[in-house]
Amino acid sequence: MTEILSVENLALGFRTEGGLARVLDMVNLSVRPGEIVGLVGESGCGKTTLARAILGTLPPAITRISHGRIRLAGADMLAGPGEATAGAVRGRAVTFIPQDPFASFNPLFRIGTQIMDLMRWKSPRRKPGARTGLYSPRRRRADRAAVIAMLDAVQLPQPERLLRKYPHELSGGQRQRVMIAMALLPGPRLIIADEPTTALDVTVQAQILALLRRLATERGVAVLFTTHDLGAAWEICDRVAVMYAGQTAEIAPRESFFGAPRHPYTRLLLESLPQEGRNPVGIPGTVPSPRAAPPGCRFHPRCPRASEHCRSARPALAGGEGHVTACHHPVMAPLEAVADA
Amino acid sequence: MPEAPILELHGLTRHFPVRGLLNRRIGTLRALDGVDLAVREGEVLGIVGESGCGKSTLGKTIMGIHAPTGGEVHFEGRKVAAPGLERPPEVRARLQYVYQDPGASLDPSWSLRRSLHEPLVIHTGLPRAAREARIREIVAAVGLPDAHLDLYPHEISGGQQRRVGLARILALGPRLVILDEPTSGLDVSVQAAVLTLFRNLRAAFNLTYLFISHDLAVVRSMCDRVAVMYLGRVVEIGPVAELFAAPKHPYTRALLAAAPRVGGPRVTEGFILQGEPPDPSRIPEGCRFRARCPLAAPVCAQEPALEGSAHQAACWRAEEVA
Repeated sequence: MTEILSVENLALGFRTEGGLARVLDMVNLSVRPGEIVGLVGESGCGKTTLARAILGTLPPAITRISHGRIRLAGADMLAGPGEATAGAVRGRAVTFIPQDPFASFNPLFRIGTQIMDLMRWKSPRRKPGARTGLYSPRRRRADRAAVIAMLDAVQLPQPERLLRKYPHELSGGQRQRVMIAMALLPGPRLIIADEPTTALDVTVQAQILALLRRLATERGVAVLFTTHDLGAAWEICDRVAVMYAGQTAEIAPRESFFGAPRHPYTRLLLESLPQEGRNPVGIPGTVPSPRAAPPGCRFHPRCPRASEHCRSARPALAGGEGHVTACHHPVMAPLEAVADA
Repeated sequence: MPEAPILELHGLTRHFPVRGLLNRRIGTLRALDGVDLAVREGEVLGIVGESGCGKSTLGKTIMGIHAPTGGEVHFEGRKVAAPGLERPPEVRARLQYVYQDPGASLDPSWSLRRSLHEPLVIHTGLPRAAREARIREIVAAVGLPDAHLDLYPHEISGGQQRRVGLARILALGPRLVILDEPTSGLDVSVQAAVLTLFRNLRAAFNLTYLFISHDLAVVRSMCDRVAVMYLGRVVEIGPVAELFAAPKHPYTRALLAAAPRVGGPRVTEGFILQGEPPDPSRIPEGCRFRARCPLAAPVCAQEPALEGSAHQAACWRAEEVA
């Protein structure tokens, strides 16, 4: 087994007053070491729920996992209350970059305090199996040197001074750089980045994407990059997976995903991108509610190629050469508009 | 002979005081710092720039939500905003502003019919039957069934609320509509439908749009001309095709290079612009972009003016690099 992360046929829902909301329905995804996988889809398609399921941070009281498994760096993340393995994996083998870095810092503590708190528990120099928060001066010195070196690597000027600042004194781009540094410090094998550049301006986004891609490649860290911005996915991903209403629609390498998408939803999504000299069409209809999801393929009410078969039978992911599609009627021709651009 | 512009800005300035301890004035945030702009009848003028560049302040100052600190706004040939000038009331109906989500401004406890009647009650003396006829016409134009008029906002979808919000604005027959980030936060499939709606409405009602957005791809597909703003000033303005094909100002170039485009080259591999825009309360002397500009020269210590005919750029070195 070579994958660092594998999600197999995951189905889960949330108990709500209006019945069970089946948010994820048979999701498949794998990430190999060192690659950047984009997870794209519209709001409400289950991207964030999947990311939280992988991290094991879904609210246990209302979550019902009906099917499937998640293996992360060899540990089973759905094993339930056996927190020991998941705890050693979470924050160590896998780390997280949030969408809004400001909401993730405590505004009352200095950046340095918050980074050193992280290192106290999650530093790679901490003895495996240690249960207490003992922090020897020797490890603290080594960790501090590592923090300074990392802040330098994410191109933050004057790291010593930065550690004494409060979160509000940093700009959005700087905060996201600190977040990237904090995600890399525990020496993870996988980073889950949940829309890390949505809140940033485009020139800052370009810098952050470049930084993320460079550091991930240099250190051989795999990245699961969720986004709704197809341009950003094109920019840094090696492979792209698209989700629709909690189902995996298509997984493909970057070139064939954008050049020859097979799922009708992927095609419509790409054709909705604004482009000069073309009126984007959009997709008629709306994303179904997870409480009343249509049977079969969840996209069939909006799909131009839907047939009777799509209403009754759920298509499985099929295809070859790393390009798999969950569709009974995939399109096999390349996409013209993108091929021309 | 080109038509007279519907909207003209002359040196429009809006400064906000920065206050410190005991409300003492400790600085000035120069959100708009001398903007000259002319919008022609019937065109779509895009305003792009990063956050903090003053594009929303520009829209709000034109609308009269902020009073200008200096400069003038001329609308349909008459002066409507200047320091100390009371805004003529009849301008309000003809100049309208669309927020990011126009549906969110509907009163939840009013039926849609009542919400739609309200602007006509305030701005016109029409009898009820005439108002009703006008509303039905507009509601059909934005693509809503008549039967929806008796519903309440929570009974219709977000997309329909947006249409009602637009219908309310259009009921008054505006000439110029300012759209402030109308597509940010929308998914691409919804965004495409919203843009199509804007295009159709513009054709049906003969509107002029001032389209404020940070999304270059949307501006490119939607606008006739585009103005790029940086720290409270317009640094480049020109026809969309020309500006996107051959940007003159180094900031515009960086902005265009930074936006990833599906099918294009990987921008992160050759991206050179570093840092972030400075704080608008501490704008550098001379050319505002000087500190981040790869082409900065000693001459840039003086502030450049917009130069050129149709396609203008405010850069000393625009010609030698082009």
